[in-house]
Amino acid sequence: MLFHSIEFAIFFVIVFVVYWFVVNKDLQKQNLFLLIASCTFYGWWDWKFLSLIFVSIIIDYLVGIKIHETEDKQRRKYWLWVSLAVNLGMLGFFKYYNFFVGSFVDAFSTVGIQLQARTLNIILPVGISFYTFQTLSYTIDIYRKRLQPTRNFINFAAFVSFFPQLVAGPIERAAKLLPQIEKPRTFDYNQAKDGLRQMLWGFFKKIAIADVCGQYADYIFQNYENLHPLILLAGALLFLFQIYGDFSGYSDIAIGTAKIFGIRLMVNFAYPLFVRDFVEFWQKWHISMIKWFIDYLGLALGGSGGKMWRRYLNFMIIFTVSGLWHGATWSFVFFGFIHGLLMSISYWRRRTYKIRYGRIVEEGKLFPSLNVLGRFIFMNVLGALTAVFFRVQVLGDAFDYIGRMFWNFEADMMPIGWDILLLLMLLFGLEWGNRHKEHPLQFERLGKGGRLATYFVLVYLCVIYFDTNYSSFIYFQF
Amino acid sequence: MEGIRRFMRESVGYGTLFLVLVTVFSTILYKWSGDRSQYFDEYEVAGVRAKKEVFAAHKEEYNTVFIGSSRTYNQIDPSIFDGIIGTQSFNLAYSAVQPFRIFDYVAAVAEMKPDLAYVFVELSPLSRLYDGFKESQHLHALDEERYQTALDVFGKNNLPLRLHAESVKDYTKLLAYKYIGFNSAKRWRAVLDIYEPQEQFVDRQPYLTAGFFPTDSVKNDKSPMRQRQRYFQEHPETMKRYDHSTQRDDFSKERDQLVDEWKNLQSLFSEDTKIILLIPPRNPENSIVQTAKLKYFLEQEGMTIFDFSDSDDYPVLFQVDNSNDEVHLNLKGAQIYTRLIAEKVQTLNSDID
Repeated sequence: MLFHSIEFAIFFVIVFVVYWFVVNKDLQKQNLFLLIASCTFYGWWDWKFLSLIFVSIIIDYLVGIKIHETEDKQRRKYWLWVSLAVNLGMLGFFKYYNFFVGSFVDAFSTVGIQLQARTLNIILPVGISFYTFQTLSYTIDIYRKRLQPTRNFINFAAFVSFFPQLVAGPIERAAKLLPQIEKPRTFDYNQAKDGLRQMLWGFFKKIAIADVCGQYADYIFQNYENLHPLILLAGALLFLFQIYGDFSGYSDIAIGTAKIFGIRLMVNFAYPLFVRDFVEFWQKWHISMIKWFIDYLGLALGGSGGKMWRRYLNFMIIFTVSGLWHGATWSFVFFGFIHGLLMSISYWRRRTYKIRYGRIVEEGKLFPSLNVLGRFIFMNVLGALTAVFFRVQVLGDAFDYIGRMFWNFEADMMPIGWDILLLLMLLFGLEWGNRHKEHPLQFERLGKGGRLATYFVLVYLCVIYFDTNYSSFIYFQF
Repeated sequence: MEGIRRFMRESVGYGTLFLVLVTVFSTILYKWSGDRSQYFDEYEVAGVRAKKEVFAAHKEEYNTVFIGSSRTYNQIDPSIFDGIIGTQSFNLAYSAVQPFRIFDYVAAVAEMKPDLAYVFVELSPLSRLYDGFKESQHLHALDEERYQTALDVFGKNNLPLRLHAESVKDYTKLLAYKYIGFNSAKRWRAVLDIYEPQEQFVDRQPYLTAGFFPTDSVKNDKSPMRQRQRYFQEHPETMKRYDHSTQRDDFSKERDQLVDEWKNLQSLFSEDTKIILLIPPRNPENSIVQTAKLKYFLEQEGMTIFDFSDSDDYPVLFQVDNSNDEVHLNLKGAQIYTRLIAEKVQTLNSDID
């Protein structure tokens, strides 16, 4: 079920009413209802894949208890491996089987050995990368003795399958989300109202930013061989804004929805278009994923201690693996690798020149300084160039696209609607003005009339740009 | 509980207020920004606009045009047709151009006053909107008058009650969506002269291809054409669903399906221009009977119709190897289909001689 669909609007109203008026007196009933609602939400795509989620849920529920029950290191490790094998096994099969088989055959063919291997016609279950990581964090945290397992199966299943963030995050940690599931929830008017505003902001980013930028980006990427370098640059930037609007829009809708149901999810994007280097970028872009990799993969690689070369190597490994997490192509792997490299360079620069940036960019200033503005532009252009590897999923084509930005000057220009500029100005303006807030619609200085007018403009833009031809969220494929 | 009641009260209140406001805005926009045919002609489908611009710039070079949906756009290759007949033709068709929209389009072409020997128009009945709201472009061709016409047509068609109800529901929903303002950015772009992105129009130089774009050339994986192709490759057995072209109904009841509008297409052009209506192979199942009815009445009116929908007459057009999906031919199929049309024209001309 897509958030921006009539089905979700009806689903949301029904779930809201039952959740707060029918089952609100009994926590177990409320959580059971939440589980049923989540299964309905997910099953709307394909109910058959619900079985995969339930395999993860059952295995990790049991493994969590088993790990906790024993102090024997070998036994604990054994049960952790069971969880890893099942979860990563399913992820590997559904997402990476064809990729690894194909790459294996290609590698041998380059040295003259022709192998015959079968690839399978596998459909990727929606959101498998997200819920797999979420359940893995549960068993790993119990193994590390950072978390007590829950003995309540319904609560655990409701935690794993919580519908707002089930298919595209934020990737929550059990330590934060599970306690909220396990304790009674009361309706908080201010939190729910804020949730509704955050949903509106998410819808605006998805419908009026991502989908509109996507229309042009799709066209430019399909026809890049015939287009002028400036249009290719515009195409890369529009794609960057598209994935930002699409993914952060989804996160905002998910977080806002969860607030209305009395649950707080972690911030997943913190104004990543206003950053000065790649360290800051990854502190603000897809925060839940990168924190997961740092906390689990990073720690397995030795953590942040030790020699500097080791730290840079870990950056490279973490980001390359995170590239592979996005998708089973060499282009995604390269996307991760290049971000690891840029992250390492930024980290080295910060250490060498003792640069420290505050959490909020240019805090308290109405406009950024020219220097900082220049950094924003530089970072967005560089981010857009790396995003080409994200968009063009054949590595050679991605290099070809970037290469043509530097020599194909006889190619055609094409008009790009200036309404996109207005939409982007609204996005940048509201985000810049409220960058110290969780989301830009948490106005402080605007009166009620101004707030209502802003909401109406956003609603109107969502309505007029609503077009189901561009309906799905990009991150659903991950 | 007061908090939750207040939340619901405010949500419903502001939601209703915003709904009323956007509806008012959209109604004003549609009433103020020109008539539907002018709007469609210029802005509704970006590919149409690009094609029409090319045709207008070179209209002296052409004496034949093809107008219709993707089943003409992707299936008729002017170079093959011209090679056989000796014409200079241009494929003006585009995806999703169907009744109501076709009438606007043909009228717009006629207004350019080209000197045409043949105008081929794809014949299709006014259908229920099978994909509902997903066909979001459809809402621009609909207004109150056409909404009423659609209801009348479905009323006269003796449809089963369920189909009738679904048709009324789809058209009502579409009109409601239109006036709520969904997808009305297209209209704003028309008013503000903003260029539309050409989502599927990968063929950027229709002059070089004479407007033909085979299904094999669609590269956008998200496009409906590619999705249909993938589904068809996995389920080629679905072909048989469309192999019922000999179905017939009782044609004696009501004239229906906009017969007069189809008939009037001839009056838009000079007497020297021959209008030929095309029924492509493999009509969607729900429209087979209606197309047959249309053909029956239009032939009585003296219209020329080339009907390729019968799998017994044209088995080659119903082979999986020649298909992109259930209702579209691939390049090989398109080449065969174009030759068959040209041969029919030759036969027609020899009969006249």
